[in-house]
Amino acid sequence: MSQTRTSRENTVVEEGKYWDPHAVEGHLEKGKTWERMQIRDDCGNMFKSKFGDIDFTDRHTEYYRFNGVLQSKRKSEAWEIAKRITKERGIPNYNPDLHLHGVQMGQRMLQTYKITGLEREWAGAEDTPAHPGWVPGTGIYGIEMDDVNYENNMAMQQSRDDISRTAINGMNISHETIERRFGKEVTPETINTYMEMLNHNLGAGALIQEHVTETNPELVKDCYAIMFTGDDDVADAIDPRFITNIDTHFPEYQVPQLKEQLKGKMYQVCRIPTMALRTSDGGLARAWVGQQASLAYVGAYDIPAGDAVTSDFVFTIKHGDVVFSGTALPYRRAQRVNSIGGVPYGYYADICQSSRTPEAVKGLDGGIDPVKVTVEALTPGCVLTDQGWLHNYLAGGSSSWASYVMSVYTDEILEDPSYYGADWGIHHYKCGVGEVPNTLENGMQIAEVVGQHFLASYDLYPAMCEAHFGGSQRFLLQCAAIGAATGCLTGDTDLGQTMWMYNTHIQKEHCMRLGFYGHDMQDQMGCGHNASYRSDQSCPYELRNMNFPDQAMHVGHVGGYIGICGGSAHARGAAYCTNPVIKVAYADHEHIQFDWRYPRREYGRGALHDFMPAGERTVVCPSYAGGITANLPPMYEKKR
Amino acid sequence: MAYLTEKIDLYNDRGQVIESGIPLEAVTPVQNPAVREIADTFKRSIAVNLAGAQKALSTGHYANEYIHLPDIPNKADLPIKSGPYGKPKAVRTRTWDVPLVENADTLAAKLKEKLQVDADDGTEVKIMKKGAMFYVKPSQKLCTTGIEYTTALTATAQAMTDLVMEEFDDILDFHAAPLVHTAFYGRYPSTYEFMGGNVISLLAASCANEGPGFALRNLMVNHIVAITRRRTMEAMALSSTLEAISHLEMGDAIGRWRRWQSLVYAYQGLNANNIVYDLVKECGSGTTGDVVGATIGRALEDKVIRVQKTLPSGFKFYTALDPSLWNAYTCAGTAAAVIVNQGAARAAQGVASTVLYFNDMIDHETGLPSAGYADGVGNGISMSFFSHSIYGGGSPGVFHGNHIVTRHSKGFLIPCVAAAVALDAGTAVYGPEATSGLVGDIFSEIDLLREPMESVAKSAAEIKNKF
Amino acid sequence: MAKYERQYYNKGDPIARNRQRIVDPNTKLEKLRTIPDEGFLSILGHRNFGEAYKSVHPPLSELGEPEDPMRDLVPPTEGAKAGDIVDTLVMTDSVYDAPLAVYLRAWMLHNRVRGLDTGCYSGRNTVEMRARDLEDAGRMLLETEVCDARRNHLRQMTCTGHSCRLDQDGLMFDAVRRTKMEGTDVIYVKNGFGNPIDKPVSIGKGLSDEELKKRTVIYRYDNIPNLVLEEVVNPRPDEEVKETIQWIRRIMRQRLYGNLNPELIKEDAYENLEQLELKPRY
Repeated sequence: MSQTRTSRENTVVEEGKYWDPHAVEGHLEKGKTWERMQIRDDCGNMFKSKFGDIDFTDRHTEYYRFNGVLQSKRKSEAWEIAKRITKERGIPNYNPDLHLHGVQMGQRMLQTYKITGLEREWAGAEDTPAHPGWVPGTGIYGIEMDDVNYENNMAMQQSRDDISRTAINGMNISHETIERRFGKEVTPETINTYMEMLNHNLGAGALIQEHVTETNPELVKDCYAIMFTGDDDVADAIDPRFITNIDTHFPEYQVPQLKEQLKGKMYQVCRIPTMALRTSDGGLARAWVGQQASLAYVGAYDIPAGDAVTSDFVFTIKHGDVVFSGTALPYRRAQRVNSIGGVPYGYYADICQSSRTPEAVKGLDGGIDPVKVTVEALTPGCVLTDQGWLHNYLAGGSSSWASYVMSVYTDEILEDPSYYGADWGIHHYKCGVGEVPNTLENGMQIAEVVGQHFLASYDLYPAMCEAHFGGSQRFLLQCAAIGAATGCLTGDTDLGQTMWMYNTHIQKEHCMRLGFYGHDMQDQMGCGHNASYRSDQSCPYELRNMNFPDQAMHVGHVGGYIGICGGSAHARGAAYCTNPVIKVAYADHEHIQFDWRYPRREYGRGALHDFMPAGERTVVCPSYAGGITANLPPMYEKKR
Repeated sequence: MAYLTEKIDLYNDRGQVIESGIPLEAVTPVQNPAVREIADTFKRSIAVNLAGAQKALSTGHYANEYIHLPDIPNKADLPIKSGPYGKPKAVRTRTWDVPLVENADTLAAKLKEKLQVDADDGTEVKIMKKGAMFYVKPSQKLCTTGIEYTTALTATAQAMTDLVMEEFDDILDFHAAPLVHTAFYGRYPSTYEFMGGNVISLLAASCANEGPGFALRNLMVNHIVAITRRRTMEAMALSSTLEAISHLEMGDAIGRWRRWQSLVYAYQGLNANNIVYDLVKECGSGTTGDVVGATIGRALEDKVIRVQKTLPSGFKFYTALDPSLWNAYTCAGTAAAVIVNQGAARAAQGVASTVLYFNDMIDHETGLPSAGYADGVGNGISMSFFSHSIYGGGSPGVFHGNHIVTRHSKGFLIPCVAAAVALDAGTAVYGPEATSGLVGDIFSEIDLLREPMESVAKSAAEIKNKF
Repeated sequence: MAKYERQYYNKGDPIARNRQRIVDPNTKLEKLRTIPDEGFLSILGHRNFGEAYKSVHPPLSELGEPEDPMRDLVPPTEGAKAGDIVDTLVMTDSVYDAPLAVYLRAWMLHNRVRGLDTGCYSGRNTVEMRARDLEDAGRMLLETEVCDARRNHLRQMTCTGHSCRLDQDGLMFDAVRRTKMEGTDVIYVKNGFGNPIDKPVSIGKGLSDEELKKRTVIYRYDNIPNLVLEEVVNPRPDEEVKETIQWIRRIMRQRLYGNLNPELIKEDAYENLEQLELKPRY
């Protein structure tokens, strides 16, 4: 199937005429509308892989014959492991007979899921190459909900770690400090020496001092330093091992935009060891780098240790010339910098590297595809803000809220209406993405077009309604699709978000229900807040973070906002959404542990237990052979 | 800023007029002397738990009931050996018997001397509960020298510590100093608040505030209900006053929003034009839905809204003739609905539901936006969630305006919660009796705080001719 | 001036009319079944038949109330007077043409009963009231037309099922299997908490699918939708779309413009704003 998504395949368009949705086969009548869903025939695959060969328009099915957890591979395995653990330790643990008042979970089918879109990405097309190693016909199917529980998925945890362990600093002030206060010249050669020393001491090695401790390099092999600059002459002179080359990493049209913003400044990006985060939070990264980079400067430029100038280095790195991925949070939700709660939505959108992938540049009708950017940026947004932050940090607990989040990047259900809306809009308004006038009237029209499509899908395909069995999931998805379509068509981030809020009314009056108890708080208030300038109600979405009052408490929203930020910027033709430094800082996909170009794929790999996280400590642990006491030397026998 | 010269009549909670023809300007926090005095009172009021400090020092239970720095008086009787020289001997290094409560009179007098800047500068130290407590109010001169609101707390804590070390220097020497500090300051400075201390302010340390201006929003609803001794509209009035002052400090009562914010305070908090009372009287035996109808009826009568359009089925859309005043009417209606619905149950737990659905029904009934342009609906939703679930929050009484769940509405939610908690007959585990006994005992003695409606109205009347 | 008569909801289409009927407290809800006391209490699961109500505080007459004019104006309910604990009842409604759905139940109760605490999830409504008041409300929620035997169930916990496909008898999915079919009738074999009931309670036969389509309060694309494609892609003037849609378009604008500047919603002044042509800024 074609990777490029061409609206022309789906429409009958004559010059000068508006696109007529009825020209597509099928009306909104039972049975016939299925043909419209076949515009994207992955939906058929999705339903089949989930439910088997069924009539998707039938609202009846059978229940109570699925044998509880035994229908699920993961839960069956978990039960066996739990029985063994109970025997070993004495205190009981996981027991599915306790699920539902004496009844096991799984009285209906425990669904499996498919990661959206991978066949298209991986397959390639005329304009885009296939991914290396792709095997035709493959996607990631059949994953279980437990596989995308944050606790079980190493890719999710690594994506959070990659943000928290990143420290970004400008180098120019440090160089000026060396030249002015110490009188030494900074050249590409000296910078190379510095980078080599930094890569030595950032993770494993010591510098300057005799008889100090060092770290096993295997434990910290994910730790490195790299740099980038907007100055081509400098970039050409730096050792290519140490530099992220903007020209080779970004599409041609994005390169001048980035270089114009970065100008002659040089930036270093340090990723401290993932393992280090165990003893700290994200605030550790800048302190760690402050110390290690100062030592590297001292070592590279022969500055006497303890010289006053060293305090300038550490100040520069920690305060003077630093770009935090996330800001600190206040008392009630206290965390230091680089916490995922403090990362602005626009930064999340920039951290996701989807906007520089071939699919995003030549996707929709052969042109820029902001929907693709939206759905990709939305995925880590959802995982990190909902599962990683709101669930893991603020509320806690182990039975997670993966269900809200996974509905967004599985089973093609978000992409269908988002593309439907974008396709419709381009032809209705006769312009490109990002070019529809951003009036409230246009926004509401786009919202209603996408909204009715989505509502019809849920109503006419009972299996789809069952797949998204929670109202919060359906509400989130519909809002996200509407926001995505509006943002992509108008290029106006805040209008996209406002139409998200408008969907609250569309869906509530249709269904007479929305989400969980507190779900629609910010959606109701957002109707007014998005146009407000009052003291604590107002902020453009790119600069909001999880501390923004409206968003601080309820799952099922922020990932979507992040996607809309990214998509809208892409639709405007921008190379980045909010911060070009962040954009380039996370562009080194060849080094960083989590491939931010394809987050959905990465999370899918995590679900398949195919993603190796960093920071594993096995190299210094006793060998572990599947049991707590198996193969342990006698002195450890009694330890737990 | 231009004066708000439109006139209102202020009524008490019996529906009787206190003052009429009051310009709206006269009740604003910047102008009204009683409101300013309420702010000043909270800023300067401190409670000293002398009995608590004495108990901490004598038992070793510093800072909370779990922390115990034990001295073991019966060490000699324990089946242990402590050395080669005979039986173990008991020692006492973490506790002292200091007769603070017995000497309360002397201590109070000397505390006042220590805190006074000038003679007769208004410094107060009142002995309460037979010497177990002091109510301390340092002078304005002391408390307004710096720019924070913390001097009363910090000066009183240090003055008490200093005083006790001085007065009892025959039994308290250098060994005792850190423990006497802890008896009054709690775990500060290891914590940034006086955690477990016996010198208590109602205001939190500034880093505990959600943002600039939130200090006075930090009083939990239980405290307000305890201070006003469960008198519903007085509890609403006190809460609304604190919210109004805070919203000024947050920057919300400025520009085109100044009138909007002042109307919320007047109509919901101060029962302006007797709207809240009238609605409760009309619908007291009725439901939330009855209050919806009565509010709209009153707004139509007062020409705040009118019919804008009638749809084919007969359904009418309304439009606002005075949008800010319409907002104030919805706030007043929300308060009345809470009083009617939660009053019927004599249980506070449903306040968020009432706030939410009253406003939701107003939206659906009229086609006009409800309180706060859906801040009432939204905040009702979040508070419903966090007062009924496993994810955080608690029962209505523990919320306040400085809380992430309930900060969103601009001054009109917390007074409703205060009304509901006031009406509760004892269904809550964390009610005012559990959390606010001390606060209630001390602060409910102050007339201005216990019954603010009358004071605010009267001092508005005193200045009304200026506007 | 004449007392304002509430309109509750628009009556522009059959679904809206159904909503308006139910939310209006003047409508006498049709009684579909009578559940005997013992059976009703056994489904609810809070107290046994004949058992006294549990108390959370002494009766108000013993407790005494503080001096407060508001208390004088608002009489307490019977449950409040007696000091009953606050009990909970949770209902789940199917998306498949149920005669009542969550928000409508919340509005209906806020218009019809006193002393209420209710909340809406997607898959359930919680209703919390003083115990004896809850039992009165519970009768309305279980015995009248707002409860279909197959599509609205009492479930105190583990409520999944509102959005699942129906089983072959048209019954909502219930993981805990509180309800079963006995012939054409629906019986509760467990109470809301999932504990088996000694004597199963029959709540009778559910309405036919056709009848449900007429009575439902939920817009659906296989029945009567709210937003219709043709009206959206080629926008019709407000007068030609459903009144419910006119309402949502209006309230969105009122909120958005009102929170920017209240003067913009004064007599709908924002309408003039939208007529202005927006000049492109590049």
